[in-house]
Amino acid sequence: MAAWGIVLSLGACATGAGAPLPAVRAFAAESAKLGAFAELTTRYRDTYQREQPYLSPAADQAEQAIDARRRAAYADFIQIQQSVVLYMQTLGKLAGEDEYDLSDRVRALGGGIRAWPDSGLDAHHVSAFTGLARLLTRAATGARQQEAVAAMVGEGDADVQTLLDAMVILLRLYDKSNDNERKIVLGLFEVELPFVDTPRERLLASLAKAHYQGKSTEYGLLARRYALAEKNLGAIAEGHRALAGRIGRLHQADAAVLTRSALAVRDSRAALDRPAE
Amino acid sequence: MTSKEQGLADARQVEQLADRLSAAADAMHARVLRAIARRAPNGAQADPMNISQEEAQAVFESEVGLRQHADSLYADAAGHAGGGLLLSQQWVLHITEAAAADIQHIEHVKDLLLIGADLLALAGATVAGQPEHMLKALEHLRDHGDDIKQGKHPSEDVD
Repeated sequence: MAAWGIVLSLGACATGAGAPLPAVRAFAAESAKLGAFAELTTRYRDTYQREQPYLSPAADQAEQAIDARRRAAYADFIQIQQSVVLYMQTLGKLAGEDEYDLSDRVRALGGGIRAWPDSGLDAHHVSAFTGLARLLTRAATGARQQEAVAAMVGEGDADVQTLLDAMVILLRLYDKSNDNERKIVLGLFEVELPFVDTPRERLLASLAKAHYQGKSTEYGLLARRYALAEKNLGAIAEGHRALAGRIGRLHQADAAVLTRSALAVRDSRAALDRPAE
Repeated sequence: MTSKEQGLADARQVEQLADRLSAAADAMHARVLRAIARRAPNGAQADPMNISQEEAQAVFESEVGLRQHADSLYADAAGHAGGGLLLSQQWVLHITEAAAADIQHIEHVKDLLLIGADLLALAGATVAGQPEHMLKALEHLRDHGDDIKQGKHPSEDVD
């Protein structure tokens, strides 16, 4: 029975003394979902395509020069996002869930040995094995995994923050550029529509108004998207900072903080995924 | 101030200039809309205070020009923000690679642990003189050994 106790305490050790790896994992998994940034970067790249029908020949000419620069920068901007995604995916894997599997297996094995009464293996052998397994499990998962996670976030934090900062700035600039696009497109209607006022032009006026309303709604929804995506990046940056600030002393109390970070990231992203009303 | 900080400060100034151009365009737009709204109804176009459609279009064209200048500056600022990050990206990718190597190592130790458990099961079955358990333990040992030879991680499949 004593041996059984050791086996059980091994299980408890593997789960209790470790870093809040499940919380790290949840945080990393949520933070790897940066699809909105890619989508808004693509939208920024394609500004000219959308604006073109509304531009005068002179404005069209001017816009083409800006378009070339937006297209040229696209690959760089997307690469920033991809680095962060790859980093978060790997962090999630490093804090992977396999740590519990082994203790289960060790427990099962201890039970198996106990079930062979005539085998000559007794509690003494079982405890020797579990002691060894415990060392190995720590090397394989618990301590090793914690150290690896701590090293990764500790060494990565400054540059991950730099990349996240850049992404926030880019989103803000996309947003402002989108604002000008909206005013160029809608402004045309606001200036031209009042002059479309003869009975002969009634059909044209109706079509233009309907088009204006559709565009107006489209831009309104987008403004919300930029704000939500920015908030999401802020939550990721804050969560990573919290994680990095606890290097070497990841313990159970911090799980709550990390879980909160993971939830903040998840909620801010869920808002992005929800269809706007 | 490092050159990176200087670059960021410059980018910030470029962005602020663009903001001012956008705001000027906004003011222009508001004014032309007011002029259009004050326009006398059809037929009274002789009034010299009335803005004509051509005039309104010309003002709007200038407004669009201002916005395009602003957008061009926003593209500059974005280039500043999104460029010069190669070192940060390389470092993050370097750390990611190191972590991937750590994952490999952890998998490897888990595999060893699994083989150890197989051996112990075999030893137990041998000592107990239970041929059917011996066969099963041997089978496990062989399968897990084969997996490792093929570069697979048998510990991943343990349930």
